[in-house]
Amino acid sequence: MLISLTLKGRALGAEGPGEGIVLALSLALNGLVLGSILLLFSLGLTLIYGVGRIVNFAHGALFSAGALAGAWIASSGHSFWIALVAAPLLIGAVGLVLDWAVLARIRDRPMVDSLLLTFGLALLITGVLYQMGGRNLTMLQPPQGLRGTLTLGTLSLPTYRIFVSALAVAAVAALLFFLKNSNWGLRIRAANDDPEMGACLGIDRESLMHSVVALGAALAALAGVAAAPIFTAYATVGDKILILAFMTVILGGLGSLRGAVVAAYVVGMIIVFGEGYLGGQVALMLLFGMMMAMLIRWPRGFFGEGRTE
Amino acid sequence: MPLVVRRPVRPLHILGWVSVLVGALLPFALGSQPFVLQLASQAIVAATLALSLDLLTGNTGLLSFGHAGWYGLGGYIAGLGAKFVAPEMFLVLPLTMIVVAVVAWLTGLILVRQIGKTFAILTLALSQIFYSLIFVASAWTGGEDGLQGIPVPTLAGLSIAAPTAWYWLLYFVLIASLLLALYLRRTPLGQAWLAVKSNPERSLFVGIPVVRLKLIAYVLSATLAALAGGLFTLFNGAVSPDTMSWLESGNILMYVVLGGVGTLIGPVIGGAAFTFAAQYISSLTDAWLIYFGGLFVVIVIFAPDGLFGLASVFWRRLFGPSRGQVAR
Amino acid sequence: MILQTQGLSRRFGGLKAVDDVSFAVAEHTVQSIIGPNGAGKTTFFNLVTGALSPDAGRILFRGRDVTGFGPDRLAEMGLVRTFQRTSIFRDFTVAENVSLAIRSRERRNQSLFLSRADEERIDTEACAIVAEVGLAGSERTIANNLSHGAQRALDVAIGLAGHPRLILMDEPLAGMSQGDRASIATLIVRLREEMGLTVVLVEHDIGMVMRLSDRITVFHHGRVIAAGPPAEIREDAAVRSAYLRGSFAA
Repeated sequence: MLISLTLKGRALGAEGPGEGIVLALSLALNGLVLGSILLLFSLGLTLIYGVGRIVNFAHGALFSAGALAGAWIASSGHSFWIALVAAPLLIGAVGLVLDWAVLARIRDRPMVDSLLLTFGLALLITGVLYQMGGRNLTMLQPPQGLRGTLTLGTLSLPTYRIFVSALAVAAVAALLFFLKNSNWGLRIRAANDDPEMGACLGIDRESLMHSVVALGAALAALAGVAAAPIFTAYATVGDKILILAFMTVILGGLGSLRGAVVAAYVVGMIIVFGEGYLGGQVALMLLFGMMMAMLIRWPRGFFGEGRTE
Repeated sequence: MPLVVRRPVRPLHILGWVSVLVGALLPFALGSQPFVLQLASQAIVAATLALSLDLLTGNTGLLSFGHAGWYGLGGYIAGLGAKFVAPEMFLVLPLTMIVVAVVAWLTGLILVRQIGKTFAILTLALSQIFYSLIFVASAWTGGEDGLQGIPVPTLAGLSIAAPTAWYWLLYFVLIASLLLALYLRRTPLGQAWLAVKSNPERSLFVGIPVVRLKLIAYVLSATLAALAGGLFTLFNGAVSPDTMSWLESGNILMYVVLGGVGTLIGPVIGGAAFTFAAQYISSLTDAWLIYFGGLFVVIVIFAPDGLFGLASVFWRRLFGPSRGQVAR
Repeated sequence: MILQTQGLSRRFGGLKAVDDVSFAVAEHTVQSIIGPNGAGKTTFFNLVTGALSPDAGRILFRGRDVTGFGPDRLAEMGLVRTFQRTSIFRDFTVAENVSLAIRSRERRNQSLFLSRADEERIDTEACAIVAEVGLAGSERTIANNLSHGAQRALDVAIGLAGHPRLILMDEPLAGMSQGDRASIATLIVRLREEMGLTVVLVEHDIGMVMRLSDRITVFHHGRVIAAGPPAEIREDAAVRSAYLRGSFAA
């Protein structure tokens, strides 16, 4: 039950040689889809870590909150597109409040406290979602125009999955562009490289951190609502994603943006291929084994940029 | 260690032994209330589990978010052993502890070398791997339904079925582990652990093999958790994959944080008290997780040394300077 | 020569932090390493004490090749260090800080039993070392409650407990008050004169370095640009242009 992010049904028995190739290609496409969702989700995790040195254990709960908020907005008669925009805005605001009201209280505490605190927040948010009816699966239908299946020769992929990947890639590209070119991005990068240096440059860490947590929460929620038509929405849907995202940020190196980009697709591919050929649980174990092996040889991730503090 | 000798512990010692005695006599008082005795047994397991986590976190500062993984793994190994080999505790439980110690040692070799945050993430991931393992091996483990039909176990050939017998058995294990943990704290090993927790870099330059000490704590902690899991499974007659969920890991962490990280006794009290509180509160309210998460957040922000930490502040006021607990 | 490096190099990305450094320290001397900020002094220190491993070159300690040894093994062999930012066990008492290091030297850090006699012997030795660095009377004080200067002295005491042959001190005077500086300087002299140790210092206080050192090595851009007794260094033209610029009169 845990990680079956079954993007492509189950039991894709590959009989003939031709079918084997079709299956592999189809899995590769789905790996891209999962990788894109994972990337969108992990980016917030990486930013929050980079600026605040906080590993956000509540990130999965924010994903679930986004998915459920989107599903509820849509089921109350609004269109999919409104849900897609409103849910991230709503959860982004929640993130802002959480950082201002809760995380800000432990800024100068030992690292252990930030881990415990976000873990407590994860429990709290999950509890709130349960209370609001999140125990039940809620479906979110993709919009009319995206319900079909795109067929290319013998390959086929639901149109909505292509849309999700494109959306995720576009959002990530826009974010990276802003990080590179805006004043806000400059401050983020300065704080990411060295928090003390950032303080020297006269950066107001409080408001910067508020904006980063709000943005991270909104990205998690965007990933959640965009993925809801695939994974459905319920209070713990984000748990699975969080585990995969944790593996992503470790493979990419804690705090490394480009590391996260590459690692998200590596993890997506491993999970989808593992699921296709070996079953979901085995895929997760395979991924964990690879991560452990990687930590022995390259403990700081793909680009050697991971934090060691 | 001079520090132990100097600590003004007399009143605490007496209080401690009196509570141990009261705990042991509890079944006589609860004879007519089997449900409470059952709950008390669960509380003891929770206390043992909390102690096992504090052996790691309190001694070395490493924070585990997947401790339930060891508990569940121990439960499944003991359950499978009792079901398919022989339901003899002197066979099954040592076997469980050995298997888990080996698994903990092999994974620990990699995990304890990481920085604290990576370690925390990896512990959570590892517990999910154990969870996955249950489903991969569902032919034996029963998958989602859990492992059921575990026979009533024997202890050196004697069938253990009476609730009071179970209570005393679990209680004995708890008190023995607690005494062991308190003794370890006074040994050079225990002091070196506290040094690693206090200042890992300096420890290394003093010549303390930091990684090895962390590994010892990690293996010990996992093994005790597995023993608690094994005992509970045999007591309960079944084990479900939910024992390994991250919510369960959160519970264990809560016992320790609530009781006071590193105090050893605090988490034991925290685990027992919390089990009772959870039972009564969750029967009153549906929104249990909200209160639980909220309490977690509040304690971390306002009382990071836990209730035991708060109590030791008052204690110090009453009985003069004490060093019952090493500052975080 | 108690410590020698041969062609030691370490780079970070494109930066050659330590570049082909050959360096030697004779026994029972005080040797200082000076140089402008970013000259590679701290990296060099980290290489020698085993905190970093070199990309190239060898490190010899007491005639043995110790390249790639970790800090704990080097400490066992008699090479200890103190830290630029005082590094002690803050929630232990002063005597416990030192006892811990003594037990570590005796390889008792993993033992599960210590007899009362051993306990007392170690405590006595710890108190003696504490007295040697001038902290007599504070044995039972929690280390965190000491003054900055006393904490630095405790840092040295922890190092001494390992029965070192060589002690490397990273900016021992940084951030100290005038009075604390004098007492630390006295302690450094005593380390050599009375305890027969070899001391390697990284220090910015040139006046103090000139007074304390038997020999000075000057780093610049990761390389050694001069080495010799203080009088010689003072006259060295390359050092003057790179670093001192005639700015000191001591």
